[in-house]
Amino acid sequence: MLLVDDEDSIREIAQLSLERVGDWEVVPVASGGEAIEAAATQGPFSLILLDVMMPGLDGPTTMRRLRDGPLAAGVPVVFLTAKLQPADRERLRQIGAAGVIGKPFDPMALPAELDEILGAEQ
Amino acid sequence: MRGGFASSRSGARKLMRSRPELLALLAFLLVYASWLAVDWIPGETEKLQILFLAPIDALVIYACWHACRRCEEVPWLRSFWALVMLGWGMELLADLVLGLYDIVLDDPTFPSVADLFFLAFYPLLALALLRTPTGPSTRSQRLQSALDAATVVVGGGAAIWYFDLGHAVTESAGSFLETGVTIAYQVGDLVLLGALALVLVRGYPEALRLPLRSVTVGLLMLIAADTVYGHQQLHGSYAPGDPVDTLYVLMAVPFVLAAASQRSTAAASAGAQAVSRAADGLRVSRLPLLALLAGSAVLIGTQWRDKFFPDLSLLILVIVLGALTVGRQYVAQRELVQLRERVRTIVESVADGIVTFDERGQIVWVNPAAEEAFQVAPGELEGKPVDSLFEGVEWAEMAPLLGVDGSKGRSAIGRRRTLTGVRRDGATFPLEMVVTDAQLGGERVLIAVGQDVGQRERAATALRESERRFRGIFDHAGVGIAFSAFDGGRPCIVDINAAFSKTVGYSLEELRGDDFSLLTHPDDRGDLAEMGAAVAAGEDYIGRELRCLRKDGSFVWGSLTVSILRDDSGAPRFAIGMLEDITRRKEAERVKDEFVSVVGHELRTPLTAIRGSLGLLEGGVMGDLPAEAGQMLTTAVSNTDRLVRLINDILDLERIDSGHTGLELESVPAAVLVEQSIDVIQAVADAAGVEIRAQAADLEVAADPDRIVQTLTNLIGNAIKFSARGGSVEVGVERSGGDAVFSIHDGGRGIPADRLEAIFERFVQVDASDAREKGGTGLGLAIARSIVEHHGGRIWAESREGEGATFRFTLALAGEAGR
Repeated sequence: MLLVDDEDSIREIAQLSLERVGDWEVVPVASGGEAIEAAATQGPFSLILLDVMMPGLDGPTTMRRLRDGPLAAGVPVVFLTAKLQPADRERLRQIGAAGVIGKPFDPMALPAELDEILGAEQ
Repeated sequence: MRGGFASSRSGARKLMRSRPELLALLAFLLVYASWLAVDWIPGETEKLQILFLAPIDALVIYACWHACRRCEEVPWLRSFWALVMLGWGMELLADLVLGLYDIVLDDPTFPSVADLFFLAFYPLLALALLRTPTGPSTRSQRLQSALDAATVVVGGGAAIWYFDLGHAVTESAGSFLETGVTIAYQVGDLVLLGALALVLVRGYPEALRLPLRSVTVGLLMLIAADTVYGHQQLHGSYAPGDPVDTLYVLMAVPFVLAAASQRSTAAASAGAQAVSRAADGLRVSRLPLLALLAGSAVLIGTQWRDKFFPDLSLLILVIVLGALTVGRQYVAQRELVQLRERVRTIVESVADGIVTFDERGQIVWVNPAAEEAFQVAPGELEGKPVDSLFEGVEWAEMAPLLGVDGSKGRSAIGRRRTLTGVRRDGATFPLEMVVTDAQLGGERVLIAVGQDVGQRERAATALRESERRFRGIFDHAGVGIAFSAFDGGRPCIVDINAAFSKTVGYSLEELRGDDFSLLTHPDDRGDLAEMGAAVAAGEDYIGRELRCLRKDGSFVWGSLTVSILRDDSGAPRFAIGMLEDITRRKEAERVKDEFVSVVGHELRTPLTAIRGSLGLLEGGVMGDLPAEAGQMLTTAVSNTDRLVRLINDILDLERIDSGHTGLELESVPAAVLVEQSIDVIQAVADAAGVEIRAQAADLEVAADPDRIVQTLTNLIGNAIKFSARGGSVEVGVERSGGDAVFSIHDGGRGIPADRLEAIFERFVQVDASDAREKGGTGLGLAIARSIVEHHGGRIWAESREGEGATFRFTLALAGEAGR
């Protein structure tokens, strides 16, 4: 899975959670640009976990760019966001997010949540 | 002197050029008079009279031809003179034939071909008279004219009968032909007399007034001459050269004068319009009087010389004349009564007061409206001095202004002025009136027409006052107001107040007629179009927050409220726009929103890291920890969660209260909302060992489902917190009028009465220790209240301490929302 978040600590915790609590192989990157590069060089991924508010390319833009490329076209994208308004979640779903996970998240429950989202997706 | 002489000579020349027939007439009369006096033509004097007839006939024809030419453009006038000319043509032919018999053949005969021509004269002249136009007339007037003419014919007929006709009919000694022709002349006279009377009484165009006067004289001379001549013929006493022949010559003179007095076309055409009605009452009734006199003369004559009249015919004559006269006066009288009635009705029913007074200042007559205005009894004012009706006005001052007693001043006549009227009880009132004058029965009468304008003045004063007040409100309102009138579907500015002008930086002169396009920010053009569409769709109140372009190019945020005034058909007529400058509020809102958003993000990022680290530690991902450390971490995690909830609640409340997250109302079954809420909270209830029992009526409410589920979840969660293990929470929805009432009841310790209101305030809880014990943020109820109130509903709590608490809130039923 590709994990994209500009905040080091959060990236670290999420990676720990996904790898230790869950059973994921995680490629962590710190920006949208790196994500696009990683998608081209280290893919294909089965899931992309994407922070919404990032300097430079933000989450939705990054998703659009990734989807445009051949390697990440059909990969489900789950957003991590500090915006928890129902309207915000709805907007993200409308542009094609498979799921939305709010910050702060429970690291012990994160892998299970992702499994649930992917299960619903299939 | 020379000048005067020259001008009189040129005047004569002008007259000779315009009316040569008059000079010819003068010459003829001189020759004729000299012959009468000196008898200078050799031959039989008696017969030579005839020589003068043909030239004067020709002269009349010549004059008529000129009149005809002058009136070419007025058809009826032209044909009048043409017929008269034709009549005189017959006369000329007759005189020539007569001259042939009398002088050339020296064999006077009666009757002859000449009589045929003579007799043609009568119908032609009658036709000319009867063809003149009459003005519009009523049936009564036509009847009166016919009766008058008939009376004249009968009266004149009596005279003619007395002199000629009676004798010709009853005792003629001549041949049948002789008698017939003699009678024909008399009948012709009667026909002419009747036609003349009819034209005179029924009225004739102004253009014919002067000529007709002369024609009347001429025809009367003819009738007189005929009567005398007939009388002499019947008695065999006529011989050529009789003085009656002179009458025949002279009767032509008025016809020449008549034709010469006919004005030219331009003047005549103007006069042709104005048809004079000679038939106004008194003047006409003189004609029957003359006829009666004629009848009486006949009566006297009969007594004197009881000769031609059988008594019966006299009796019939008097009866017929009397009946005609009485009938005529009856018809006139009836019309007079009707006229008087009509005038009386009008004068009595007019709303204006009318007071007439004489030149001594004494009131003559007052109409009911005036009596009511002065509050006097009917007839009470008559004979009183007119100045007693007014305050501060003396007759001595009034008189000179009214032109009384021959004074020249008439400045008050016809001028509208406002005086102070005095009622009988001394009360005064503003009286607007105008005095005019008229001649009535040979006396000058002054007529004052006026009305009490007190009501009107009070209304006008009230209107001015109201206008001043509203103008003041408009001018000094703190909020900007623009008044505009719809023109071609768009509101064009008519007036703006000072506050509006200050907000947008334009003056009224610069904005007058503008349809707000000057003021609209380019990005808000769509809003303007939307508002136009809303007006077209029938909305009368439209509110918008938009940017207003100022004259200097900057813009201000304005809250614009537009009210539409419509005409009876529903088309928009005027728009009243109220503009409040909300730039500072907008700026403050923007700063706050930004702050809230940044704070939300900036707080969550470290919290996510803290919560994540603690979670991983507590979850044992980093290896097992001592039991005490594990407990400490559990406390840290739950408090971090509480801090996160607190931040979420604060941001939530901020958003809802600022109205920034608009509610998305839809029609939802209440039961669905309750179900969803229970789904969310069920796990908590299970953990707490509390049962949730729900019973929702089948109701559809207008709600933003997410927000109401949030509210219900808050309230149910609250109820669970305060319920003992093994207890239950009851959730219900019932209908109450147009509302659905949601209720959440718990069997907990309840809420003291003095806290029932306060618990909905932020960070207020029943017990200060609750926050710590129950893990609440202290904002749950505040958020619930905010959401319910934004839905237009009401929220409250009911409780008796020790018996649990019930929270209730209302939502409008779908379809009732917005009522």
